[in-house]
Amino acid sequence: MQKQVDRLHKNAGRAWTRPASRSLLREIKKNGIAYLFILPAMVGIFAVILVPLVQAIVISFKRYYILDILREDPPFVGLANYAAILSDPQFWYSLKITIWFTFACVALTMLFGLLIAILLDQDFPGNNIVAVSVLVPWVIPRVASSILWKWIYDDQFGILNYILSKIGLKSFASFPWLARAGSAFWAVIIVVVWQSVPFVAVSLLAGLKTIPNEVYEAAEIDGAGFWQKTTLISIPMLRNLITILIVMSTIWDFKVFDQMFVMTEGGPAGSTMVLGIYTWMMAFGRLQMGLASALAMIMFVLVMIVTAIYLKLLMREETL
Amino acid sequence: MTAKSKFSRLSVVLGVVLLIMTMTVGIASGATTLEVWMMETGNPDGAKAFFNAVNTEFEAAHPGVKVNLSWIPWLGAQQKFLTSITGGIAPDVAELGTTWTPDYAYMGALEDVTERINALGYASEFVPALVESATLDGKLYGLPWYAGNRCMIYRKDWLEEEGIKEFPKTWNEFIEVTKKLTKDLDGDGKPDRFGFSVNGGSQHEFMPLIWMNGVEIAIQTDKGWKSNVDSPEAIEAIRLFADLYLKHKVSPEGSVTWSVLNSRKAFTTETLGIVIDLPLLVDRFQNDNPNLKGKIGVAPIPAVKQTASFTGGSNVVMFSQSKKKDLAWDYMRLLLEPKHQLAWADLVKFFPARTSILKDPSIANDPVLSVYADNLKYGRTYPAIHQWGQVENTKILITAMQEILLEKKTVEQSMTDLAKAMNLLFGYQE
Amino acid sequence: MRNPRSGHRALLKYAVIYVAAAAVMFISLFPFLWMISTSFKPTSETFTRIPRLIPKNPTLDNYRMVLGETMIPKYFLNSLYVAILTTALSIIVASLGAYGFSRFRFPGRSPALIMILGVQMFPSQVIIIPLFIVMKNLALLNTHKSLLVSYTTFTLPLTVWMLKGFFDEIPRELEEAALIDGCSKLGAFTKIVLPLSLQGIVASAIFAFIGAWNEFMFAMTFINLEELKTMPVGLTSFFGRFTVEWNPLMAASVLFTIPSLVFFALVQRNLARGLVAGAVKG
Repeated sequence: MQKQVDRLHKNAGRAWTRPASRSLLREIKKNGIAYLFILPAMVGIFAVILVPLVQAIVISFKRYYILDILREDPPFVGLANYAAILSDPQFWYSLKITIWFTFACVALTMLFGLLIAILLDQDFPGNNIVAVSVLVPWVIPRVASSILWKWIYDDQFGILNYILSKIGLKSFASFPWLARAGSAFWAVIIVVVWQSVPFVAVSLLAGLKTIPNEVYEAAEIDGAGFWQKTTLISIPMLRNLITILIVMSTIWDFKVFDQMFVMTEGGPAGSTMVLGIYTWMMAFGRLQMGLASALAMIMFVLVMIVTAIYLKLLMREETL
Repeated sequence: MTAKSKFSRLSVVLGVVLLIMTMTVGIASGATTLEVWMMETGNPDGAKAFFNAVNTEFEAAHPGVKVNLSWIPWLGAQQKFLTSITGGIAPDVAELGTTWTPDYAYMGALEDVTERINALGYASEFVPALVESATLDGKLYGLPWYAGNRCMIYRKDWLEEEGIKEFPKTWNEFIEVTKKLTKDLDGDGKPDRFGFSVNGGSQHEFMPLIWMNGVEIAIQTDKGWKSNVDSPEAIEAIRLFADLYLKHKVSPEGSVTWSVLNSRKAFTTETLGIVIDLPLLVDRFQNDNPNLKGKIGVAPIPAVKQTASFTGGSNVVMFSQSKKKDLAWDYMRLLLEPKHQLAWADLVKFFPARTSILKDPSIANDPVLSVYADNLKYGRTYPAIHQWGQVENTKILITAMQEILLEKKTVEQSMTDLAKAMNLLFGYQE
Repeated sequence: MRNPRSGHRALLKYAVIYVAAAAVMFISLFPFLWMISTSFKPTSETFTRIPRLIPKNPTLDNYRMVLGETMIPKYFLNSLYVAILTTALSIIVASLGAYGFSRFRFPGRSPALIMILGVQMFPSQVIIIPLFIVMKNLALLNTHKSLLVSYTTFTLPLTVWMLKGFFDEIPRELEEAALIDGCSKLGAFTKIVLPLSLQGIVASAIFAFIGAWNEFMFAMTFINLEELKTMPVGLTSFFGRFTVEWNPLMAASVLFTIPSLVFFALVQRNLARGLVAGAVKG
């Protein structure tokens, strides 16, 4: 993907240098058909994403208390919202647990995704049935699966506690998964990972299929076992794909909202108050849209930084 | 083929796409419509039938007017109201929960109806807690509609098994009863039947103990509203409640995050002996589990220094954006007619806002409703200030209780922190 | 000829594979089966100390209640309507856009592409109030069009990039040949490029459909009218004010899952390659 981006830059550079000698009008006319092709997409993105986005940026510099806006135009307060957020201990706590949450989700998703992809890449009777089963968690709508897991985690009648106490873990009889700070955090991680693994596994499987068998066979002749084949062949050859999947998962998990909202609403005692929920609370709980927008901008910048770091790492390794 | 025709063919395709994307304005119909929003109820069919009747009556009395009724789910309702108000498309009339009324009144979104209410002739009859909730700076911004208070709903048969004839009147006696009801029935060393649930996920059960111990949750000072939850009496009250879980262990382990939804389920499934809840639950428990028929009793909440109960309910409000205020008022007034008050009260098992209607035999002679109705006079409501919505929305009350139950903080520490958090929202500075 | 040692190893390998496969299938399927099981149970079998996967007295009461006494059927049809239209619309818009980006070099191309990629990083809960105002100004509130427009747009970042990856792989020579034969650009696109990227289109369709079928926050904010609500919002109203009703809740969840299940089943064959064929080579 980085190559694509590089190519883009080059092409864009070329395209932009040309109009200097010709008129801009002629350029537009010449490319008219190209603009027509992308027009519907750009109109949509402009009206539905960019315009509100710019408004949200403006709001982040205003004291925008919803209960005050009918009375007065929200006044500009400069960077006050950002200063307030950065000096708010809850923000730092939320940031910390959001990073942990994202890290745990991405790591577990990639690990299980890769293991399942490798499993599905093997040739064995029944492979198809397993491949289809793996997709099921992805198919269940997020709201429905969050409700389903809440039922599974139920302390009194949940099936999880029943199974655990049946296999000898007596202390899990009526264990309140969503009522303890630590276990609630992990309970949501399990649900998010459960739902994200299929996409990663299927993507990695498609990647594995592109590695020619001869490569593995050659390695086997050299005496490579499963571990060597995976770490020395599969992972390096899929590095681009893995990087893209990590970036995408990081973005998705960093913004987590639905599952957390349905299952814990940030509780118990604020222990699962990730940034996505905290932002929502700030907007629709405290009604401080200015602070909420500032929070969202900070989240946005953090995601951009993470993405940039990943891409940078990828690029460096490629040039080496 | 020329470039021009290629171009135009593409344009047609794109035109169609854009048309689908931007096809927008529906043509407004000619009739006057009154937009009405009501909160969803536990009995949707009954509620629909009730409003069909009300709307038919209203439309018959106002030819050419059509009532457009929307049902708003409680989850996400706050967001829906706010976005509609800021977007300038608030309805004409809406039902608002009592704790939300001050928010929107402060916002300027609600019409001041003081004069209209005073002209009704029965303004002095309203349940006091409702009037308190609809008042901001001495003006009324909502028409009290119905009230719901909480009492103790308990297993009569379980109490009798323990030789207890009468439901306790004091909190200390109550503790002893809950201890007796908590039992390990299957002998695995862990109790599987509980006396009570502390419901760390909902505040209406534990906050009233502060009133019951003789103090207010927040007090008005010359510097504005100030939280009072860190007063010794409030701390003592909260400790009494938390001890049910921490010390007496009469409450299920998971009840740290339980809300009434969970304690109701536990009561239905016969794993819980006593809940604090609304009158309509008595019927529901018996419907959901026929085995409970005849085994349920109701009683006032046992007193610490006195008894008290959170009394919520709803007001009907008129939005200041409405261009049909007189029509809106006619509609609101219609809901307060005795026959509609009684029908609605019967349907949702709440109480009419007009206390004169409480004397109706359908309430006064009902063994359950009469207990609740008698206790309406002990009903209290949270401070009617616009920041209260934020106190509830940000869940700081629940968080404080959960921190105590999880033993992350002592009662003193947690209540001191809660007072700070509340004062921050109130804008109070020492 | 095989030596016995490699026979042992093959056996061991199969043992490991089947144990792993069994574990994977259990974890993937069991929660879903539990959802189905609960949806067929009467309340008396749900709140019991000894749960069973196969109900002793299976009942259709929960489904009867959900289908007969609630608005769920209406929500369901609304969701289906919105999701199908979103899928169709976003395939059209995204494939046009992706083709434009893949085949033409024009001023502003690179910033536009990066912008498309960038917008999906923004937390959507904050643009909801400004977006609400936009929708209000376009008189789109309380219409399915508001959802159609926003869902289509929010799927574009992914679908445009995905389809562009596919189009990039199709040799230009094929279209050039068609152009020489008198085909228009659009004709070359619809007759040559689209059929060759069927897998990519299928993958994009999945994303669009699942995205629209899942979405909760916009639907909750833009739609007030009961008869226009979609499934995720409708399902949460089931959480209710009064008590937790797991059995009908699970029945409604099963119904909610069926369309995406069917959709996946239909396109499953094309799914694996379609998802990443573009990205792998990237």
